[in-house]
Amino acid sequence: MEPTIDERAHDVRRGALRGLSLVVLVVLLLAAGGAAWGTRRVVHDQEHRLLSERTSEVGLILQTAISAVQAQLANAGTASRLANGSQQAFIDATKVDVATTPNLLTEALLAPAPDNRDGFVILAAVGPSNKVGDVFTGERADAIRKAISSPGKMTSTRVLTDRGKKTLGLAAGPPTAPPGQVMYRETSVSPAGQSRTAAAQPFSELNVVLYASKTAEPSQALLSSTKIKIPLQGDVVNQPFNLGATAWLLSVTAQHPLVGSLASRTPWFVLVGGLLLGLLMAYVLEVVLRRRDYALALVDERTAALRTSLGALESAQEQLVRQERLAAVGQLASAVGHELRNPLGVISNSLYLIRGATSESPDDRLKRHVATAEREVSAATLIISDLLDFARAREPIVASVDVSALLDEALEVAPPPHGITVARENGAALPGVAADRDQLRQVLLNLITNGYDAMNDGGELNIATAASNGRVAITVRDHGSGMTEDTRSHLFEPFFTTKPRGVGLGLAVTQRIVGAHGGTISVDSKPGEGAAFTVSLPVFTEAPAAQ
Amino acid sequence: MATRVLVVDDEAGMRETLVDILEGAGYEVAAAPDGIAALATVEDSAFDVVLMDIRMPGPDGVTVLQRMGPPPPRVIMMTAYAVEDQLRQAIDAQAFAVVHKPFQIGYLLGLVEGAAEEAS
Repeated sequence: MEPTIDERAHDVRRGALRGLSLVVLVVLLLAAGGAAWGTRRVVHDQEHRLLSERTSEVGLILQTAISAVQAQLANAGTASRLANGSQQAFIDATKVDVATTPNLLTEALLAPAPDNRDGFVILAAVGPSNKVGDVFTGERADAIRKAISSPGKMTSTRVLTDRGKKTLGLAAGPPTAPPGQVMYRETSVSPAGQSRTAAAQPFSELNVVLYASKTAEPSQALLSSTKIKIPLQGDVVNQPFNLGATAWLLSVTAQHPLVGSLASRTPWFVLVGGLLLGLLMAYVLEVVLRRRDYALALVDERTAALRTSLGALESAQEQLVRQERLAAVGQLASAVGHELRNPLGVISNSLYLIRGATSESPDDRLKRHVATAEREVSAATLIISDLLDFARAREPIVASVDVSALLDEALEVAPPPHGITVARENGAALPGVAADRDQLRQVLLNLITNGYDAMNDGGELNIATAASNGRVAITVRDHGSGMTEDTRSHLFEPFFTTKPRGVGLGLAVTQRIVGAHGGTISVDSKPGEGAAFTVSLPVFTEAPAAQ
Repeated sequence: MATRVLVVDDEAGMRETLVDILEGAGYEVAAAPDGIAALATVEDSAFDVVLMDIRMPGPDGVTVLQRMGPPPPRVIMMTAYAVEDQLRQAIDAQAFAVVHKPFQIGYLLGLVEGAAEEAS
């Protein structure tokens, strides 16, 4: 069954996303993602640039701090040189340093150790860790040796771990120290704590870690701005920090976005905005597409309905035209037929008189000619009756009709032509059938003359009657050439004929009359085996059911 | 006394052949070409059976039948036109029978005989 428009519309509403909507949605989502990613890149670059600038500032501040240490060392160095390496002079010169540097472990003047090629011996020192005469080797000696070979530049050790304490050594050779000697200071390092410098204003927004190494080695962290996880995570700016001849690393991240929290969230705004826009566009497009589908479905539906109506109209018109043509044919036939009946009646009467007048004549040919003329008048009468009955169907006027007597009459009207004999086979005592006598006679005449016409070469025409179950059956069987399936299928159509003469209305009228009587007509025939027509009619009762 | 039959038909051929046939069958036959003449003839003398065409110039057969009598003769109506209304009217007007042209003479003679028997 064809679905109604409402069902289709429902399907349209219920269906999955249209391909176009889906494409638009995906494209807009991708565009939103791309825009968000691009914005994030721009914001990130800006953030990174700002962070780099701030890192440089931090570097400068730290350099200043280092310069202060170098200046202190230079002071002590100058004092030592003037005092010729006197311990007391050194103590005096570094008194201020010891007072202002709480984490100072050692501040010393060293010279290469005479008995150890790789070591350096302390000539003068302050601080709790070392005393004059101690010899430095290993990493401390490496930094000191490098300081001697890098005039004017400070060097540092890596962060040293000594009995669980972390320390850092700074060394400065000549001209800070006297020729051939080195100023050395070692301080304790506590990177996890917030250093004074780190608390300073430029650091407040930053996480700063200074490593005493080229790379971000957690063990080499000298100072960090807060208690943070080392190494730093996220957007890290790693800037080389040169402590004289030693390369350190300054590692910085921002505690909060430097571009501002709004700017940093811009990519998300772009993304969310884009997603919403994509969904909205897809939704709008989907609604438009569905409306269009609905409209198209509606148009299809209406078109189909129109087409159906048109087809019905056309067939109705065809039928009208056909009916009009038949009606016109019928009117003409009716007029002509009626007018022919009078002259036929006169001819028929005249032939009767001639037959009477010639009955005594010895000329058999004359009698035969009269018989032929009478038979032809009967045929003409039958044709006219068929035409008239076809043109204007008449309701049967039903009475009880004796079929045997009517058959006698019909055979008298249409006697068998030369070469054909009629064999009657009557059932016992037939009851009267409910029929219009004239119409039933016409039916019998049609079947009988058809039988004659089917047997051009002569033969026997069997007419049988039988009664059963409240009906009377009349069978007319010829032994002619029979008929094909195709012929049989058109047998009862008006104007269908297989005879060289005749208008092809006999069986059409016969079928209609039998039908109007509440009877049936059937045909049994095969090519070469003749044909048998059987008419079955209801038996007459006082209150006939057929009326 | 012979049965008297009146034949009423505007067609001369039909009228004359019927007169010949009925006379041949032993009836005393008169003829009239239309309804007016038929009514005049019936008034002049009595007829046992009338054979009358339905469609005629002037008053038609059914009208003429209604004007005949009393007592009306047995009238057998003849028609070439199977017009249902006319058939009904003829039956309503107490026609003895209606026959269609062209008819079987044997059947017609049987009807005339039946009508004559009923009249006597």
